[in-house]
Amino acid sequence: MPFDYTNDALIASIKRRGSIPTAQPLFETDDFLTLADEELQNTIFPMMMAIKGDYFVTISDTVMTAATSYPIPSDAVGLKVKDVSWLPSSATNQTPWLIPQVNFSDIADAFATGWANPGYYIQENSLILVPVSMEGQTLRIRFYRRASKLVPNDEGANILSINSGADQVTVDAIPAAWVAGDLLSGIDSQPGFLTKVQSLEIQSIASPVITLDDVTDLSVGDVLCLDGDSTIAQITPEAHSILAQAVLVKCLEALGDPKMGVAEAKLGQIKQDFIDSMTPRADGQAKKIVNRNSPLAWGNYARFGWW
Amino acid sequence: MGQTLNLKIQGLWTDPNQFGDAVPPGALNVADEIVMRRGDVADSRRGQAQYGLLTNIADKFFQYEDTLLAHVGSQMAYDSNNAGTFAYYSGSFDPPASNVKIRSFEGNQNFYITSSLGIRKLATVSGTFQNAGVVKALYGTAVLTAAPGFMADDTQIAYRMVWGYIDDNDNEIVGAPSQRLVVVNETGATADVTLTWQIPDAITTSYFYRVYRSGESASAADAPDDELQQIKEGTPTSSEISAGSFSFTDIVPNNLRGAKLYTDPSQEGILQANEPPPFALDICFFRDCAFYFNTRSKQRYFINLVAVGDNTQGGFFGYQTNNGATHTNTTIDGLTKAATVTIGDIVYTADAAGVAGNDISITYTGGGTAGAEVVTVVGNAISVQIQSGVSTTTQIVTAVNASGAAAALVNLTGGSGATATTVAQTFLSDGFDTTYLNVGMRVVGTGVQAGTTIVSIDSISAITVTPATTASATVALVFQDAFRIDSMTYYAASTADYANRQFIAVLSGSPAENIEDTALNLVAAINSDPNNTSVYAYYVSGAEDLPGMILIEERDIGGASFAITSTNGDSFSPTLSNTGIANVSDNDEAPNRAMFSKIQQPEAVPLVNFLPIGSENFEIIRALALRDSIFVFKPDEGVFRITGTDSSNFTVSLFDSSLSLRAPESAVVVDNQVFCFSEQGIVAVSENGIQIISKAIETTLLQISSPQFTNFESATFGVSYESDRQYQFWTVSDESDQTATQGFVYDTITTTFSRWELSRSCGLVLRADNKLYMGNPDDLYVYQERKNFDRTDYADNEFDVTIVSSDGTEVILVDTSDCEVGDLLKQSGLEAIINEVVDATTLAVSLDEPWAAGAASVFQGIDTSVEWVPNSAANPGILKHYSECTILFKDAAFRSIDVGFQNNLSDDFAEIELPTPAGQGWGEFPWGERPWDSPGGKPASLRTFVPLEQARGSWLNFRVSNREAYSSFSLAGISAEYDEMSSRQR
Repeated sequence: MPFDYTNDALIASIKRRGSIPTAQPLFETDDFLTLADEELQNTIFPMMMAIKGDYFVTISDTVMTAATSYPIPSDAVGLKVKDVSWLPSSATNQTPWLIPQVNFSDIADAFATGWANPGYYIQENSLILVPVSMEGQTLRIRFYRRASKLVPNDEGANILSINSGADQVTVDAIPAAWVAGDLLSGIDSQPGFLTKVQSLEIQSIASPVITLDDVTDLSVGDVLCLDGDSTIAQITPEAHSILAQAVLVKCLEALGDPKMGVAEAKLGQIKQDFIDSMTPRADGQAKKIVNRNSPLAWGNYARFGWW
Repeated sequence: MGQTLNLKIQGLWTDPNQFGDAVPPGALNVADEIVMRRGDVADSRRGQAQYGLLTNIADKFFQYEDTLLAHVGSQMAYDSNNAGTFAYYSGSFDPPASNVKIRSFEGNQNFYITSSLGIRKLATVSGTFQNAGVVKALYGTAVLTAAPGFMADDTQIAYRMVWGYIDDNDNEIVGAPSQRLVVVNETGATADVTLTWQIPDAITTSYFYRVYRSGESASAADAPDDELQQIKEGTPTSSEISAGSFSFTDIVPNNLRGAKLYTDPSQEGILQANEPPPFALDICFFRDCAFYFNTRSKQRYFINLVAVGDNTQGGFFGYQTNNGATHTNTTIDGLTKAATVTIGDIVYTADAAGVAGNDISITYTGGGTAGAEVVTVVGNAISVQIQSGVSTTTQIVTAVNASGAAAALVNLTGGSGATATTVAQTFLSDGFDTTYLNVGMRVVGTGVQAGTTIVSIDSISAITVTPATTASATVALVFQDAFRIDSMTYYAASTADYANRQFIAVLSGSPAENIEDTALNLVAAINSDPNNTSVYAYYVSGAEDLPGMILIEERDIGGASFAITSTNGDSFSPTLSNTGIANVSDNDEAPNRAMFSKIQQPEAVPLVNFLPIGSENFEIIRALALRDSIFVFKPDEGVFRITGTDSSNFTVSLFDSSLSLRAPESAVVVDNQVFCFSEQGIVAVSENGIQIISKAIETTLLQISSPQFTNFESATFGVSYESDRQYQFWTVSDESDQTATQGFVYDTITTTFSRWELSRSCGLVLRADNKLYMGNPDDLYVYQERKNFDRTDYADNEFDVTIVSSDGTEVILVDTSDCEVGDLLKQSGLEAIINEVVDATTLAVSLDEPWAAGAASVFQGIDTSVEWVPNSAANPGILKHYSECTILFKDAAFRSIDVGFQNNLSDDFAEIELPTPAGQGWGEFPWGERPWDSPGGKPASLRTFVPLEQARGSWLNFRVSNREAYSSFSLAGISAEYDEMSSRQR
């Protein structure tokens, strides 16, 4: 039997860990998932990002127009970007060209000298390209995607079959709240649990068949959820138990349980174990120590606006 | 972290300070639909299901011969097949008073009840109710036969007779004897006696009579004694009953007389006559005697006829004759006649016409000298001294006329000269006027219509009658006095016609003889009147009494009073009025009286067997017998106790002067104690004293017994459940309740209360099956307790439904309107709890099985709820953080149970449904693991957290509730964990 990484399994794990009664009025399912969401953001993400393993990194491609301002994806953790590049539309090799982040004062200086290299700076929650946009080219933003909001299993649907010609998927059960016009995301049910595709519009529902506007990127076994929702915590499976432990600590804290300290210590231990075992993310490759401020690296990082 | 652990369930304690030591650990705020029969454990109550349909609201249940009886409206019904088919007894059955219910007892294998018709008796459960007791024998008459016979000359003998019967349980029921019938033989020879006895209308051919006779007196002038021995036993024939009397000739020699009459002086005495039970509001059985409380006798009126006579004899009660009167329409005049008497050939006529002339007398005495007759007048007495055989009538006329005083009294005519002899005092007679006539007298005569009565006395010589006469000539008239019992009018006449209420007023004897004979005739007329169904008359003058004493007595009992009137009231003592209600019967109503029967003769209640209990100002409203006492409740006077071992030493003593019973039907006997509702709440009364047992719920009881709950006393009743050791106190819960809507169930062992919320009108535990039966005023059904001692006990009513189809856990019915969540759907071997009533035809059930289309049953779940008093961890003064609780069950035979939380900072209960631990509920453990239908599951603990909104507070209320048919629990305790908080955290 495959491992169950769904949210229902997560809740069951929390209850097992804390001997939490099967039926109790203090923590409803939503309460557990809300706590899990918070722990994802506050505990799991920092922990995994500390590994520097580019977990959660994803890309957002946008065809540039004459405008120079492009918003940072709203699901970017901390509304931060990892890096920004562009893809020449004429190039056969889709190697991205990195766009360096520049300081606004540097730009001012550059214009003053009559010379300006491409770059961007961040203003509010958008990227501002300088000196101009590269209209027609693709702007690629790499960022750390925030995990989707955790929802109970019965608020998602598992794809059992796909009719590509009709853009239809047959699912195991359709949540009652779904109606035509809702936007769905396709989530990989395999570890990693990435969101494969977003904003698939429901054309019609005839249980158990859903007609979407596009099923190209979907596979049998994927999970459909409303955009922004997920029935699976979108973290590496090894971190699921850490998430469960983290939620348990919060539950015991709410209960005033004297054993909360023990649980918290356990959480700290398994977090550290995770970090230790997962760092580096790619074993067998010597970890590079990069001194980006070294004068030897200045050229590689467009310290002076050259690439 | 602190813990409050409570392993006791103590029942309702809603009244005292719930934060202090006034309530015990485990006290409850709510204890609905549970029983507390086991120590410290709250168990689900057993259910009640429809058993039999009645025609009206059951007012009260009884039991007799292992059968349930019900008082329903004005009917009595019984469970004719002991399976819920009720049959109704013939007759009407109303309580003895509007504000009381019928009471009962069993004795001598019979069943007795109070009623508006007096005490009624049932000898077999499928039989017919009849009045308890036997009617007192009526009077008889006797005639001597020609010689020879058993009765010696110059003697008297006395007779009495009794009526009786043997009931279906072989009890001989014998009534009170008749008055003495004295026979005198002065014929100069021996004689037998032909006796005729009147038959009361209650007598049937099932009755027997026994006639007793005394020995002979020493002489005809001596009264016989009352030591009577049986000379005859027989059964009246139908024709005799129709005729109203039977006759036989007594030929039994004195030495062959049989058994003595039980009222003989050498036996029990006449004061121990077997009177039927009195009309009573309450009854009970104690020391083999029946006790009757708050009694009334039959309506009775004692009267003494003191004078009989016509217009010539003073115009006393009787009839008067006027041999010549003139009739003109409604006026009859010319009634005045002068009195006359003829002596020899002289006619003496009173100078003054009218009845006064009847007082004039004439006497001829001897010793005189012819031609010198001496006339002496003293008052109205004229005496003439003559020379007997020599004086002539002419000389007498001359002498009388010569006497001024005599001439002033009489006129003389005739006197032809014939010789005269002495003549004893002779009165003038037939003097007549209206002096002795009275309004209301009947007028009889030729040309006078039947039923004509005097409307007014117009003058000394004229009266007005109605209707108008039809006679045109002067005719003789008879004026008859009337004796009335309400509208029944009996007329005194010279001949008897009982069918038309006419009897003979005997005028020919001595005054005493006239009175006695006339009174006997009146008694006979009343008793023989075919249209009289309301009273009997008894001639009650004894040998040593004045003649003419009559008792007019109601035939049944419990009826209205009757008035006695007469047109000649002065002839009676007390004096009777001619109209109105100055002289009315009395039923000796004694609200403070207890009467008791003879031992093992509940239908024999001598009039002297009574005990006054307290003041007559305060009535007895309830009496119940314990082993050694009867406790008698008088609401404004307290509790009295009757003790003793037999009628010779029954005594009454005041037991408690302050206890005032409020709801009479709340009083029942449980565990040799009387439990009842008083001004002090529910109390237990025993020989050891009075104990208040409802202190824990007193405020609740005070509220529902307050004046605005107008039906409290009539709707409240108690039920004794000895085997479950319960006193059930059923009463109203809302001001508008007409009948009880809740029952407080008190366990006499654990001394705890729980509460059942059911609409009930009465209840009884039947000895035959030891099950509780209750009347439901809403659907008129008798409900029977489920008592199989298995899980099927835990459902209330069941009803039929029709399954149309099923799909998974959805079942389609024709109609789901009566179904509720928690009910159980059952079809053959399939059982499922209804989880949801989806719509008018769809149920969601707990079992995914293929249900067959067709008939099925739904068993109603019981809404069980237990709520502890606030859990303040012994300190309600500080805030606490309650984190979790664990509910402990001795048995957890349910699928799920709801646990609720509420604290001082939240108004509503937050509830969570907790499933039973895996494998606990029925159907959730392997087949064969436990005995089939064994009660309950296993001990279990259900742990859960306290909801966020209720977790922090000064105290926390816990509630456990469940509604699942065929499920039950035995709640054993609760544990809660908490941390004390700073008060600033609020």
